Amino acid sequence: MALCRLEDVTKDYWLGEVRVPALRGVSTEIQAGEFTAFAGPSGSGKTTLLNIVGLLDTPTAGKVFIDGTEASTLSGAALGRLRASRIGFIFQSFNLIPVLSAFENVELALKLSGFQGGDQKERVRKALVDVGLEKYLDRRPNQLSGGQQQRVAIARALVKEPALVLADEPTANLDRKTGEAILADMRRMNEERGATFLFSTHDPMVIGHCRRVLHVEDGLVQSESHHEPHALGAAT
Amino acid sequence: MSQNRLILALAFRNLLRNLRRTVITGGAVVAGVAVMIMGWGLVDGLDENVLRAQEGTVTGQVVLRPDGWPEQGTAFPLDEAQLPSPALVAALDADERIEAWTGRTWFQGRAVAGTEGITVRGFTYDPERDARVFDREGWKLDGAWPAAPEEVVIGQWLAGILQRGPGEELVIEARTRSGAINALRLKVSGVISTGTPAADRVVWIPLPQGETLLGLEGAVSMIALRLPRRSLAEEVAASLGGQGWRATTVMWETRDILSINAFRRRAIALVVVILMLIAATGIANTVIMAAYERVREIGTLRAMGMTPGQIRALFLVEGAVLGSVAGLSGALIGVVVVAWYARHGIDLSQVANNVGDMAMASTLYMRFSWPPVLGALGFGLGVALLASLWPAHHAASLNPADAVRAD
Repeated sequence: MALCRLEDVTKDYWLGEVRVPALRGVSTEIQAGEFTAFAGPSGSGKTTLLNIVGLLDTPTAGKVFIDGTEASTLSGAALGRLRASRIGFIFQSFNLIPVLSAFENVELALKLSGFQGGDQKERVRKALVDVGLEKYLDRRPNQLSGGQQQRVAIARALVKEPALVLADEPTANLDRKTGEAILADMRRMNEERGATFLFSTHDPMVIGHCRRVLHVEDGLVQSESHHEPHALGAAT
Repeated sequence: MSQNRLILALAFRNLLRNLRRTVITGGAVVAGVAVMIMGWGLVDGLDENVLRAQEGTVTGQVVLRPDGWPEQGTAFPLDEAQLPSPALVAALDADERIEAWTGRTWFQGRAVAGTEGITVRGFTYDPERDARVFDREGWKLDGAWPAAPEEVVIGQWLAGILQRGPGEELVIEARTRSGAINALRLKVSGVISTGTPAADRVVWIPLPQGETLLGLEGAVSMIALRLPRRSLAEEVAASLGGQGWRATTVMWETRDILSINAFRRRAIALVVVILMLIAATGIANTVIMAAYERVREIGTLRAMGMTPGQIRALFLVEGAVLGSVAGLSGALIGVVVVAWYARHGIDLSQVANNVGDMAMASTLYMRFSWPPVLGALGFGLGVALLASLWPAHHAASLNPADAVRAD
């Protein structure tokens, strides 16, 4: 069973009385363990697709299945629970909570997920150690570099061991070297833990790391390509 | 439970994020709650001040007056004074609710000291009975209570006007009950200061001399009753009327000034409401600014699984925490101020000396009670919650997909 399946998904936005179609009938599947990108230029609809997969937005028509459950049948609270437990997000602007330390940002995600087992503190610490931030646990976001903030965001997305990690332009606000290192971290998580990553990007560097790329344009998946990802460089 | 604690912790952190704004907003709540508690403490203290002064120096908790004695004014028609009937005396003696009673007769006359004479008021009293009704606690006596037949006590204010003190002579002129003019040469044994101008402006003449001066033949113009507690006054007064006597309570005697205090209380309530409206505007502004400033955070929290209800709760808790902390601070300030003035009092001697016949002690003790404190706290918290409702609803209804990408 696919981890995520989209069936003829459309999404329209309205600018006043003008209908703007963002998605025009997208059907695809994401399997567990994939490292995949929705790639396309700005305005192609790739971020809208990611938001719909992440249950942050609802399609105008069509169906979205997560783990075989159709999202439109779920209440708002149930969608929230599903997001909290099964989906991790990594954003272009990191989106860390500024009043919380790196540790607390990650801990917040774990608590919201309803995670019950084991030592929560140790789990949070390990998530941050895994992305090389063991020395920065108590730092607030404004005391961290962009790369460090994005690593906190990765730890936050992965700490609850979600089925699917969605990353929207995760390298857009990072320099190339840091972007490479971040991607290497995510590749490692994918290969070592089997975490499923789905990107929305137009960055060739991100696309180069993906095994599967869905090319989105004018609200449609125009083509799909598969290739061997770049070799992992040393993480910085 | 864990998520509730999480929301509470986040709310605290968010309030500290813009500390200056939080402090300014909270300041209005602090002021509102403190003013409410202090205002209530002051007016309650004023009520108590008036009642204590009246019952402690003038009327006791219940007073009986002859039916013909005027209800108001400063006329003292001695022909209306009455001899308490044996039946009334028996009833007063037999009533277990009455701890003590005494008769007084008020009169107006003239005091002459040397070549100077002024119009004065005074009353005659039975020294033994009077001391049982009015416990004299807190009174200051320069000299001594009258021990010899020709001795008299005068109030401190009057002593100052007449330039007379203990050991000095004074002539009191007055009309008798039958209308004849009479005069007595008396010696001042003491100068009394009760703290109540109504009692400190007059001449206190013990009964043998009072009888002689006014020709009363046992008649009195009032009978003051001491009860174990003020709350019995209405019940006792209701049972004692009739037979030519009108029974009233200390509350009725002071109704004019108590009604002024009630007006003051309403004025304070109005000030508090205005302050709280300012506070509510401030809180609403603070919470809505927070909602607009933190759109991306709200989207992120939604993406992480927070429900709209939890987002709403987060903002409501921020308002509630602000209202509670500010309310508690205001309550603390109010309680400390009220407690201080309840213990040390406020000197009202300048005011009290200008209020004439009104019973008012020259020291005002604020009065502490819990209902205004709890009311002010509840009011502060309620205002904070109400002011946060709309911003919280706005935050909860944001589209998470748009919010996560907000600038």
